[in-house]
Amino acid sequence: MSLSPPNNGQRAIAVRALDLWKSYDDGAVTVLQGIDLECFEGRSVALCGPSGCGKSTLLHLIAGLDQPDRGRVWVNGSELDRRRNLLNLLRHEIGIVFQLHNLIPDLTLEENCLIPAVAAGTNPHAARQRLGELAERTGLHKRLKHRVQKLSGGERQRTALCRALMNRPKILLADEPTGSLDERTGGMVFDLLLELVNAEGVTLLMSTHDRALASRCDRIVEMHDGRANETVCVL
Amino acid sequence: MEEPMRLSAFSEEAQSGIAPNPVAQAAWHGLMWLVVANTVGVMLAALLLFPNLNGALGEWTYGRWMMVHMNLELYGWTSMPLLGFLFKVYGVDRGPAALWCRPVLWVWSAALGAGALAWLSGHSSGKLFLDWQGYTRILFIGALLTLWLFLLLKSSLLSGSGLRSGKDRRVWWAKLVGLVVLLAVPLLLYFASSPAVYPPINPDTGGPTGASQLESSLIVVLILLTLPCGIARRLPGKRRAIGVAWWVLAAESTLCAAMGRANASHHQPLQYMSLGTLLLWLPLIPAYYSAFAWHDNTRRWRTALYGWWGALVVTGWVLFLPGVLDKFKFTDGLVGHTFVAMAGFTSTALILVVVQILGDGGWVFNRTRSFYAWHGSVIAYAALMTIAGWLEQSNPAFTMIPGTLRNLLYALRLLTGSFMLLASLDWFVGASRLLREPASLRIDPLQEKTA
Ligand SMILES: Nc1ncnc2c1ncn2[C@@H]1O[C@H](COP(=O)(O)OP(=O)(O)OP(=O)(O)O)[C@@H](O)[C@H]1O
Ligand SMILES: [Mg+2]
Repeated sequence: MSLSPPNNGQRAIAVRALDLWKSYDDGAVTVLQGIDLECFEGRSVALCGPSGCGKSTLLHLIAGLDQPDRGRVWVNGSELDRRRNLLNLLRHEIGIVFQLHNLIPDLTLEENCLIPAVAAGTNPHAARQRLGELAERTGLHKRLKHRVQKLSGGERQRTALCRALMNRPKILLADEPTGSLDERTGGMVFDLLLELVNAEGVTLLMSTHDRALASRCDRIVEMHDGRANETVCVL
Repeated sequence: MEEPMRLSAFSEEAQSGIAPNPVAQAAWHGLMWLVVANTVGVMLAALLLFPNLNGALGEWTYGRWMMVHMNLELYGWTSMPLLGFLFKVYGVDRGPAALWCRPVLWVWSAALGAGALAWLSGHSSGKLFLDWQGYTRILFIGALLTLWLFLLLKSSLLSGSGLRSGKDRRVWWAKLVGLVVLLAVPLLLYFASSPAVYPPINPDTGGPTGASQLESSLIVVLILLTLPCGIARRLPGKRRAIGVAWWVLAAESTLCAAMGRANASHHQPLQYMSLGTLLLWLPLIPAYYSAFAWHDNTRRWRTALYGWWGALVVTGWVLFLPGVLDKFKFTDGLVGHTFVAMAGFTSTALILVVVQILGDGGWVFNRTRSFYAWHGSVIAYAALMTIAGWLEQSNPAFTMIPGTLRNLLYALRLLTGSFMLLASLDWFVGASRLLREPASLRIDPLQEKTA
């Protein structure tokens, strides 16, 4: 079967999932039941759906952090399964903001953000410069030397965002980036997220419970019963 | 004063150059894995210094090579010379049985090779040192059972020919008990390797899982007391030193059993005080060892053993004290301590055993250059990592983010690792020579040339 991605105007497909199935506990819990999804380059997509419907699971499969039982995933034109070097994808092409931000609490904001740059082999000077730029835009520049444990929830989310963008990824996967924040702070973090993504031409795939935020994305994909339905398309 | 003794372990065939000595073969296998594992270690040290090189590794990342390094050091280097010890003690290194030693060693090495490939492909139980998954679990346990069956069937144990005199009977029983204990190893390893038996990470503390410190330390003492038996003659008139050692071990084991395993926090005085009783072994081990007759070639290795044992017991106890452990836990400081334990103490004990059995052939390990390169590097390595650990406690990112001081320490670490690799290569080349030219069993060809 040949699977050439369909054309959407001039835009290439950044992320494509085809018939993804995933279950846990040896098949006792089936979470994804044949998900199909496409995200176009430079666009933003919101994944919505009730808690436990499999949004995080889907994002993890797309990032190559976990493997589907069945189905295929393409990122930037190449299939994950066939990729000889999945780490290269994680180091250079994809940025992830985790639902529970996954920062290292004992390290400072700066150190947390420098680690992916070190792993990607960026020279420390260039990495610090990039961080300075991101910190400036997210209003964190005065917090660089603070340990994560001393940061507020909103500051942590913004730190996670900076870390995800350190290596200039082409795709940003954000799992409830505003989930743990109050409405106002959440709104501010989301504004920042959209601003950065647009400025750098990054493709955004974001899961969220917040309908208002979702409606500001280019598209909304609704998930239930382990399947995905497009509800709004503002392309 | 102890008299120098000529104890040659070679069979007639070996001395006339027909078949190589199985103990030398076991040492050769161990050294081969030491060289491989040390090469990987040097590569890992270089990666820490130049993280950009990570990109060139593809899927075979630092984390996977790390498992290869650790597992090969443990199941290759620190295990295979002990196969030589077992060959000797069970008497299968002589006569027709000796022919089987080679295949038994190769089965073991083949399982390790398969293991290394599996770890590199990302198959792991997540348990350090219990990393046998899928087919490698079968292969490695198979290698252990092969060895066990070989010892059972080819030693004189079954024929009962050793049952004549009272002393023979005691030796026979000791060997039998040894075999029964040995059988527990593959069984325990098989079950403990499963993540289902106990989790790799303690869910309450986020740290590794483990039981009593005292218990595991006493097992090390037991092994130390067992090692001379069967390879070195007891000196007449030294019964007391031997008796005292076994009595103290019995007393401490009773203490350990009485304490039980529950709630073994190192903050409890009972815990660190009882662990302090291990300090008794500082003088007891040298006293015990000098009650045996050792080959002349073992002299510097015995001295090294006492030194490393002392360093291990003292630093082990100090590190365990409340306040100290809390600072050094999970830092490079513990890496330094592990080095004292494995590269210093364990490696020295193994080499001592091999040199004693090889006797004259022990020259392989006695060259001054490799001896000092190894021990000097281990001492320097442990010191460097203690400094790094100390800095890490106030700055947890110290080892992760490249900086001048960190890079300096890691560059020196790379240097010490390279010297250790060179020393192991020197031993390996010597051991290869032993196997190739049985004539060189008696004297170091290097010395012969200069003499
Ligand atoms: N590792 C796992 N083992 C077993 N079950 C799991 C595992 N991970 C997720 N699940 C289950 O799969 C289902 C989907 O989980 P997932 O985290 O993808 O949901 P979600 O849509 O992100 O939910 P939320 O909106 O609450 O974040 C849940 O029922 C969850 O309990
Ligand atoms: Mg989720």
